[in-house]
Amino acid sequence: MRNTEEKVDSQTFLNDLLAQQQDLSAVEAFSVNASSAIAETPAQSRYYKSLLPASPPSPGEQYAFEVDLDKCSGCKSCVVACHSLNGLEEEESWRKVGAITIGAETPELKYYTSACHHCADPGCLNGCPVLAYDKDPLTGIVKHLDDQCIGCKYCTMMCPYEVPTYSSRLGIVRKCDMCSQRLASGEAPACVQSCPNEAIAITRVATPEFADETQCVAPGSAPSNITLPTTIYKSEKQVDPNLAAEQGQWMDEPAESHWPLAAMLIGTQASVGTLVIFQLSDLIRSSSARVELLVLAAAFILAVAGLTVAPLHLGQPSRSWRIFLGLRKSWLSREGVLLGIYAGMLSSTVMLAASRFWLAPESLLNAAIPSAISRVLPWFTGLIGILGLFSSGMIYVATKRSLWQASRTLPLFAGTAVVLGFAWLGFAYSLTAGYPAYSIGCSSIGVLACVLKWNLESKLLPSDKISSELVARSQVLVSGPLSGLGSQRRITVFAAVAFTGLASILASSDYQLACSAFLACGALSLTAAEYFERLLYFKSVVYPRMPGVIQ
Amino acid sequence: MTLFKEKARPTEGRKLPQILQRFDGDMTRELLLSPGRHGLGMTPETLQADATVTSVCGYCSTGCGLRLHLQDSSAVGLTPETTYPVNMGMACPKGWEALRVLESDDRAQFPLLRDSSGTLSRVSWDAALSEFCNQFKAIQAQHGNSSVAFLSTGQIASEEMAFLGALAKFGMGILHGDGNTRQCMATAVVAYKESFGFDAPPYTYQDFEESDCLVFIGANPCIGHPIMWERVLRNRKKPEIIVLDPRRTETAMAATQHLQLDPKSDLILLYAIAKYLIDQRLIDLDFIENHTEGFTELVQHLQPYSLEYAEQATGLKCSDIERAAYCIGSAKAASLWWTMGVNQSYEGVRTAQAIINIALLTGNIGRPGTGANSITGQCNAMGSRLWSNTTNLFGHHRFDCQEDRHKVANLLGIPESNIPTQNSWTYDQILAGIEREEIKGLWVIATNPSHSWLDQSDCREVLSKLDFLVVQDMYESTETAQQADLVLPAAGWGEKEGTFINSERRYGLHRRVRKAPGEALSDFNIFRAISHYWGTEELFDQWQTPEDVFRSMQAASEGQPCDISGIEGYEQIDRCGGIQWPWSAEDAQANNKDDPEQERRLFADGKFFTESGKAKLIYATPQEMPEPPDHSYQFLLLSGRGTVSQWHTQTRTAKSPILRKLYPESPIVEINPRDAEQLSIRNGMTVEITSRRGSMHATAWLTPTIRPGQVFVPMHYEGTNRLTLQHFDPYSRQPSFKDCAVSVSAATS
Repeated sequence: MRNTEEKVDSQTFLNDLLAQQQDLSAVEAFSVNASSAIAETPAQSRYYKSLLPASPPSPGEQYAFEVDLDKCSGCKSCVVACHSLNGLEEEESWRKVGAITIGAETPELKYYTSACHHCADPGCLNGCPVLAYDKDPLTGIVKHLDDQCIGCKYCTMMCPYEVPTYSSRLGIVRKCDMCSQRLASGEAPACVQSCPNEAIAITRVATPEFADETQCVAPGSAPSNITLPTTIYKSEKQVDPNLAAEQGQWMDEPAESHWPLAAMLIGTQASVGTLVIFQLSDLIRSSSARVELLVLAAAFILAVAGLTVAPLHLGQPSRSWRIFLGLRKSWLSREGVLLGIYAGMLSSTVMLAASRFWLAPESLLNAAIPSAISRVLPWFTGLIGILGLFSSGMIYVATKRSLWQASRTLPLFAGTAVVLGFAWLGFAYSLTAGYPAYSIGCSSIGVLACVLKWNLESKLLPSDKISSELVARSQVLVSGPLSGLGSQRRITVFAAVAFTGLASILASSDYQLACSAFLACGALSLTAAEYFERLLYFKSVVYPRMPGVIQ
Repeated sequence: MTLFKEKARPTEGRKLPQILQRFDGDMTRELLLSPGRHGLGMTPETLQADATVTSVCGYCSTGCGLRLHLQDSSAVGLTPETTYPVNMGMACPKGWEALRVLESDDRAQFPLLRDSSGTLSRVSWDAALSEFCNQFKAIQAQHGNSSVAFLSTGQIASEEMAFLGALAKFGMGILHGDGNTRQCMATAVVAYKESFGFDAPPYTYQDFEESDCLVFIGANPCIGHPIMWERVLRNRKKPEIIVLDPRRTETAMAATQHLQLDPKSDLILLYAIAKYLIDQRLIDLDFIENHTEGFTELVQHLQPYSLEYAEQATGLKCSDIERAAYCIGSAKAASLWWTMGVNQSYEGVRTAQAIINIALLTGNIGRPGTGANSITGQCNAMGSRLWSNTTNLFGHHRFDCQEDRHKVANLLGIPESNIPTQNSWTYDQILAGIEREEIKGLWVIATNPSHSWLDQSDCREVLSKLDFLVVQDMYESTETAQQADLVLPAAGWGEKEGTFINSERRYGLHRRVRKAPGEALSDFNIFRAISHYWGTEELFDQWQTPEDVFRSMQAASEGQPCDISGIEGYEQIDRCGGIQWPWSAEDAQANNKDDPEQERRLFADGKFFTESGKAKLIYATPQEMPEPPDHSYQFLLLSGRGTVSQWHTQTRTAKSPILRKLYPESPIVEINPRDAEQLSIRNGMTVEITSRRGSMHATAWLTPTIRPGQVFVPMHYEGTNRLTLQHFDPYSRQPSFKDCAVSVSAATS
């Protein structure tokens, strides 16, 4: 045993070592470069000078990334340098690198490094509802305006190359701006200056005006005619895209669920469906003021429910009042504005119906409003609603994703309106005595329509050659990781059948309240079923991608 | 040069007021760059520096210079050093993220001791060090001094290795100690020692740029050493690049000739090439005559290795072999480079020597663009080879040589009797010693055998037999630390200083620019503390700082081929962008005390370090692999580096969020699509890989770059070494990681 003196000595010694470990002054001993002068040219410029264009673009030209595939060895330094030199978040980089193999016997392996393609016709910019993208007229650089972005993520769907990425910390997306601050001072972008093999350069290109649908920037990526990307991949060896296989093929992950969007779509579609079907049925036999009020109120509640959930999808809801800015190009703007007007008009319609129901016809309010308006307003509201629904559909159609093409999206969305319109109408009718045939009839049509829609959905999938692989990949998701959603949908459809069946048994009995309750459950079940359908629509989408890393 | 003026606001056609379209604001300013000082260029807030210093990177043996951005002497970020002669302003993703991995939650911050309930709990350094000494001393008292052993690393500074080796062997009386460098470089060491008389990789990186014909054998620099590949691409001579590899790797793809040979047929192929060169008189007879030994015997030995024989054994076409051999033989300057594909083989030493033989036969040594060049693995494997005091006595001397013992004892001021007279056991022999219960105590420094050793389950079981296992590491989460009785928290690269020696023999300096977390101490200071508690403080009291040890190393190197007595000190190493050995006092004198040239190579005079001064041509008969695929285990398992962003057992690389995005999170296995079709395996499916020793799950990755009948699994995933087979090169005792039989099937989940 060591004695106490030794112990004290040891402790002092240890304390010294621990203190030493926390002292950084030794680094100052020599060779610290502390000159604070701002150098005329950065030290690294000797390596990248030749990788920048000699002069700015002429009219009709813009800057573009040029990647030499024969030089890229797949080290991914560009990805990390982009992260580091731009001060991005822990997992954020605006570049990605993926591999493809070409051929089978003596295959070629090629790495594709990609960032924003600074497209001539940028999908992000075209889709943005608040003009948070700007294409610089001189350089062609597509810049994202971080303080304008409302975090709706629509650009992440509109960009065929998955370039804008969402930051949950900031509630906005961010993307590559070709290091425009560096270019403006004559420096190379982070990726260009960090590539050990000089594989990435900035070049001037004629701004593309046209691409045919067979052209793509990389094998397996989206056709270039969607957004006219500008990145050039060059290689001395010709790449035959037919022989190319991306490393991650058949390794799709379920896409984002966008659940607030799904809820919004279901709510507004149910609302418009209820209103329009009621108006049509009213042509056959006009209903009492009570029925009218209840139906319109139901439609209003559905719309409000949907529209209230929608902002949960936004990262920066307080900025979303600017949503009208994009009306010229963005279907999302149009949807937002139209559905907003729809909700407003619907509330007026409800108020008019209420006044007709509660106030005497000769009361001041009823007298002040010409009856023509009362009659036309619901129709007009319905029309705006239908335009709103159409815009909802076009939001997804505009992404040019095969699985979201118009021939699938629009019938699905319209189908939801029909299914839920009948279902909720049936319920609303049941709240007033004297409409048993109407209520059971409508509810049953709703259930039948749902079953029919469910069975016809697979026929809506695109069947052309290019899409068939996407459909098959999507099916792998549906039958694999998303099979739970499928089961939930099945259960809710069966539940709706059962509830509606029970209601029809009770319809002619004295248990009106129970009948209404069952119809309400039936309508709720169908709403849930349609919600699951919509989640599947979002989560099972696959599309051509740039080569990327499999996680 | 200004390419365009950045506009704060667009002008053309867009005149929306800021209230409607916000071009500026907090979020925009978050990404604002400002002109950097110190020649840095435009810099984000996070990288702004008030000063910079250079450190060599602590991952691989390339030894890149990293420019550390300091604020108040603490590193906030880094960029590759523009003028460092190794990397010339570039770095791989690991280097870029070198600082980030220091901030991980699983850093070992306090000593941990396994308590009576079996959990590792925090204790004071005093308690930890007392326990360390009490336990090991008790074991030694009962079972003899050699019943405690250590396993070291290629990841700590030369000075730390030197201290560890001296403390363990001369202070604590330990006889057996080895390093994880046994797993990567032992083969190259033995091959060089036997052929050249010293462990002397002869080249400098400039040779990549000056070669007319580069031959890569079992090397994939595009992925393993991307910055060396940068140097290859700087070669303006349009060189012939020949790659020998069973896989169609990135490097093979970039080569002008890829000899995709059957696994473990490399030795036969190299012999066939040598025979062809001799038969076609594509050799340098003058050089052979004056500078080599054993030519006649070699010619005799090579008789059977005709191109036709090689065609059969390797699966290559005669014409392809002939073309490659001709290119090597006719090149003005041919260089041959090898790494783990050769080193990690049961006949690696003879294979490496077959490569050396080709360089010697063709006179491709000592001139620019030539050499038989081993590309090293870890950042300081070369330091370990010279200074770890394991295989060799301090500074590449011999334990079994009285003269050497005397020299080292004098130099370090320790009693000669403290120096063991016997060689140490190798890594595998130490584990076998534990198995036989001859070794009862083990001290593991900065390595992770429970993940990285062959036949992992067996290795873990062996380690569990120890009476006392100490792990000294930066992270408390390593598989080995989890098994330990005592964990000593170590500072990492960036939190301490010292020198690394890179592949081209360059001493480079790394600096202390971060505070270590908690009570973690540099390995150097841990050794000082142990020495204090063990009672050997006086023995090593001349070593207060790493630079003190460096001066002892300089003294010990005097007169050796690796002489560094001419280096002025750390300051000069830093100033010169690293200094290659040798740089003796005489060299410095002859150079008028000017700084040495930045790129120097060995053997320009054709004099080797053997007694005769001649290089030896060494050969052996190729052997079959011990566990070829058969009916039950139909595939040959190859293992190796996965991506640039992964390092070893991922103890560090997995701690960088951005690096983690650059490779698949869970293990993958590369399978040829033809095999996959037969097994009904689709890309992305989970499969089970089974060997006679264990099994693992992995995601199937269908790729034609792997041949039918073979599968490839990256070594970084914990499951990989559950499969591998324990077998070794008989001369270097290096594990043969890349050949064992496995079966593959769709996993039943």
